[in-house]
Amino acid sequence: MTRLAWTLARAGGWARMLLVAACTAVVSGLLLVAVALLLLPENPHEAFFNLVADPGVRGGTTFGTVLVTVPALLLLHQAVRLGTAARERRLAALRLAGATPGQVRLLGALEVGIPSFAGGVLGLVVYALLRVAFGGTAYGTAERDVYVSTPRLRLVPTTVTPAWWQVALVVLAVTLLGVAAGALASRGLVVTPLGVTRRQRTAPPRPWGFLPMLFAAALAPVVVAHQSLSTAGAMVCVALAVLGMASLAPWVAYRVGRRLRARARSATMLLAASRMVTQPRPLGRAAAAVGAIALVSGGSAALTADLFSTNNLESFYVVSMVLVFGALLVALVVVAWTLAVHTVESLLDRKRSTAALVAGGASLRELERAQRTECGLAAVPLALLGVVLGTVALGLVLPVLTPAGLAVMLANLVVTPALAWVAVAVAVRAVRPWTVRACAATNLRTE
Amino acid sequence: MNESSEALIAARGLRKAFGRTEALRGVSLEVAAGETVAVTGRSGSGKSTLLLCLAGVLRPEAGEVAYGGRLLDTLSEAERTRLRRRDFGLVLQFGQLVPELSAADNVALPLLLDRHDRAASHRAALGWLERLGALDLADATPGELSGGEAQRVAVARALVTGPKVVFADEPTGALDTVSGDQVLDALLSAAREAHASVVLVTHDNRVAAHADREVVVTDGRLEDADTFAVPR
Repeated sequence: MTRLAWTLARAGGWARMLLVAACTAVVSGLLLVAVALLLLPENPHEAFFNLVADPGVRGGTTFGTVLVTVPALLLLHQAVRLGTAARERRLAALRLAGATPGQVRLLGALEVGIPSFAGGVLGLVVYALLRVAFGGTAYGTAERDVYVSTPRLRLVPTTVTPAWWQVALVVLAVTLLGVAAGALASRGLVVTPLGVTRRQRTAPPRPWGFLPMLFAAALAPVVVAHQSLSTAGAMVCVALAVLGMASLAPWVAYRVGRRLRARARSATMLLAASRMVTQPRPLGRAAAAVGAIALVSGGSAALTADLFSTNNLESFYVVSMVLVFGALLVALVVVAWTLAVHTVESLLDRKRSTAALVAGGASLRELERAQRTECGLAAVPLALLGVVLGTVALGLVLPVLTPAGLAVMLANLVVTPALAWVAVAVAVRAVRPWTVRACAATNLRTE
Repeated sequence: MNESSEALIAARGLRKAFGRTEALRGVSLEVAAGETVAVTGRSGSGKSTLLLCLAGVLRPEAGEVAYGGRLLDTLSEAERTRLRRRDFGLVLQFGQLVPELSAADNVALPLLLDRHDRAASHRAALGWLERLGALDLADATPGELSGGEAQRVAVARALVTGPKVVFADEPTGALDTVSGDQVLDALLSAAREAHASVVLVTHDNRVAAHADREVVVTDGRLEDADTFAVPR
């Protein structure tokens, strides 16, 4: 069975397997860093940057490390869906050859599970690389003197290492996450010997994402009032808000698409808006991380504004904020990948109608413009909503706000959606080879 | 066969290969204005490749296609795209409609791509759907249409720009006889009313019988067209 699953996984293409493995490797590596941070004693025997050295904020740093896995997990979900149509045909062929529904499910799980497991193990390499790049320096080593003269970011513990069983647990968890993503992608799929049908979800997405956000808003005053709850409470609030923003993405895509479809004046806008209305969930999932990133960006900008307003520009705070914005930029790069994978999947799914559109007189430029509009209209409003909510949520509790602080927040309100647009433009440009391939007249040939 | 001077489309010595398979081996064909030509032949004989070369979708490796005296090969990709959008209409066997758009929007799409006003494009689309007896399908998406209904929408889309030539590749190939006849009648009568030429690829002799002229493609070569001329 494993051999057959391996054959099927290879049939799905090396690109998909590598992407799944790369995503799980990043998630596994970051989780191992988080485990190592949790293993640190209160007063570690190595030099760290204050975000790790200070036990009071170490929990938040660990939480932030786990949060960075969110965009990678969303990319994993998208990567698992890559080549869905061909995979579904293969599964139908297996049913025709005599495989039971249970065997088909198992094969589907193994097909994703094998590269996920490989990625989970490769996470050790990612962890090792992060240790080399950002490792702390143990006291009593010759390097300590170097630390003083050449400061670098020391964020990953080197004096403690996760035990073998902790590594095994992380690898297992990451493999299960991959399998769960595969199961989620196959949800509603009915594989019979005669082919594959998918139970379509026709109901439009609902704004359930507001619920966890409202819960976070209700919890925030309690957290502020009780000092003992501050770190854990803040983490819960941020997690709920991030979850809410990510869940809102399909609803935002649907609402924006509906509004624009009726008002579309050009073919580009009509194509983009219609896709947003008929397929809001895949697009929303691809853009989901943008909302979460923008929310954190808004909150971070408010905190930065506070630093400016109180003239508290110590290197610790400045470097910490630079780190946060750096992590957000990395997350945005992952989002660009996710959008690119979504666009490729979308092209593979409608090769024939795309080729027919081109044969009928649509140009490559118009197709790319429609792709850009579709992804942009899903990502940019979400970014705007996220950055406004994040800014307002933290901006409201700032004691003082100077013009310089206000300028930081306002600039971020523009920069974050603009960067989301750049991510979209990069993603669409990156998939041009697939777009060109989808336009090929060979896709018109009678099957 | 018509004289070259009267030909709206003239192809000479077309050669096209896909890998090591030679789909066309020196095909020459002329189509006069308002003429309906059926291109027949066995599956894999190269007839669809010929149609796509004539429509400027595929570029032949050798030979030339002239439309209205202009060689397609000398046109830029943007000019060829505009030509296909304005002067040509294309009907395929299936799967050519954009799945997310309603039937009316699918029909209006070529006009919108040509930067026509949305309201006017929509009106024109509804007009063509009405002529083809498909007005009640205007708000349906392709997934909600039967094969015959989808083909009538595709025919409306091919004709909405008022093309000079309609290229139809097995337009009834995926339909039952009754639906196929309805689609074919709709296509040919609408094209005749608009004085458009039709190049009709088919493997069905019943369909080919509707054409003014029939040419047969065998192994990438055109057999003597006069031999197969349908008397009128």
